[in-house]
Amino acid sequence: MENKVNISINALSKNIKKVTILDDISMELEGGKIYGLKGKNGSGKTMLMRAICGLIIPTGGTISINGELLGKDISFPRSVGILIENPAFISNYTGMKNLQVLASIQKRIGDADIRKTLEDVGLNPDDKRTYKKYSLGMKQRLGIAGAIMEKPDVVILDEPINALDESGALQVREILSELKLNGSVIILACHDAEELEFLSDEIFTISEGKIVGHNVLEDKKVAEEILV
Amino acid sequence: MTRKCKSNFLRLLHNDLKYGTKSNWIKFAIAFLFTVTCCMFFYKSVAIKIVSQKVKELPGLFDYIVYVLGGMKEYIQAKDKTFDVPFIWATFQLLVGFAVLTYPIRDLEGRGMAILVNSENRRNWWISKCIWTVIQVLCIYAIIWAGIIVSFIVIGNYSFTLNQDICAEMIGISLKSTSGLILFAIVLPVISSIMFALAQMSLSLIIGPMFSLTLVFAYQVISSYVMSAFLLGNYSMILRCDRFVKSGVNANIGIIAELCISAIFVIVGSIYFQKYDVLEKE
Repeated sequence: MENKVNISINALSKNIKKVTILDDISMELEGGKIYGLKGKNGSGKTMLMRAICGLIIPTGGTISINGELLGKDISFPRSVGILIENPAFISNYTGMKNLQVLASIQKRIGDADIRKTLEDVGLNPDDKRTYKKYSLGMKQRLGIAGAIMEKPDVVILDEPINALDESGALQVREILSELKLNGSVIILACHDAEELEFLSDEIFTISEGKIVGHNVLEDKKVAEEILV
Repeated sequence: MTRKCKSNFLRLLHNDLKYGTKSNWIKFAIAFLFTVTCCMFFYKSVAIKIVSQKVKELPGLFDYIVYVLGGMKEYIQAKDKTFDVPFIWATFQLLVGFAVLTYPIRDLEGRGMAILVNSENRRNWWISKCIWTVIQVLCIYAIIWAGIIVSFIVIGNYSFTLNQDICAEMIGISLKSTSGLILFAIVLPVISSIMFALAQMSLSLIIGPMFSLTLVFAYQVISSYVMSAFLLGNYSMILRCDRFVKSGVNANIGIIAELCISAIFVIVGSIYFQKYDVLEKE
């Protein structure tokens, strides 16, 4: 993998209305790995993800992506795909149309790539149903498709396997493996501890805005061979 | 701005104009229907006055323009006079307010967050939304004008003069001049509405869309109650401009002031948005 993506988080903190949301978080994340975030509701996982995306402005500390400081050199990571909170698309458009709208901003991919991504997440690109008629699982799959279709350098997924069935979860695993092989940094939060351990190379445990644990998971090679 | 950044901005703007404008089609339809209804009501009222010989002629194009876009004459407090908010003018202000109410803030949720992070920088996103806001205001007024012209054509009295007796009888005012009426009728309400729409959008970042609409509309209502150069809503009413009425506010100063204030809201909003936290909406 050439030109590995690198995210460096140093002493990151965030206060909102005098409440400490993130407290002195430091991490080094590199491309080609999946990083899991574990913690209770309200522990700060989603806020950390938002900070890495550039959606919230840190009170203190820095985040740099490939040497560029977020909030100073760049407003957002240059190549990022996100799925945070409920994926809300245009209700009167089909899944394909919705992704075409999203892809039209950066214009990095064409219809063929969008079609393949939809197939990869288990959706039919020729489905005429509009988004408002999608089931919860289908909406989640479309959200994931929107996050990964441009093969971004940084992928941030908050509870990606929510509302997915067994086959959906398996497809997500395959997709994440492929992205990992492409050199993306993947950060995901998942309430299913077992699934998180299966998917992740390293897991950070967050509690009350602080990192209270960091596990580097060994023996991932066997699991990756099964997937690939 | 680098070439790539410029292309990205143009695509972002295209996305906002295309999908953000489509989402307002119901409001545009309401604006058209409301305008036509007002014109029909005006025509009927004048026709009744003709029968009672209070007015000599049916309304011409200028009469419709003054009635629909004029606002109201200065309100002077008196014991036997109650203040009524100018209904037509207030409805148009609200329509503009609702047209720009939720799209920018809603575009910070769900797929909008993905679009924001793909916009490369926050300034791009903000400027695109400002341009979108201006376009919505222009669309609303274009539709109002379309409604006036369609009504004028359908009714069939193809007169282009302003009837002072209709003004006096229907609006209670005599215009000192009609020179430049069309130009000011096009420019004044539009620039005023653009300023209020940009103010509303900027304030919605701080206090939310509904509160910002309420605040802006309250300010506009106060403007209709008190004629003052400092209450900027006055400049949106032709019937309060010194060009057309004796004791009116200076329209030229009003236009310059509103353009400057619009620019201030764009700049201040951009600065505020640089530090804005995009959080999950409750």
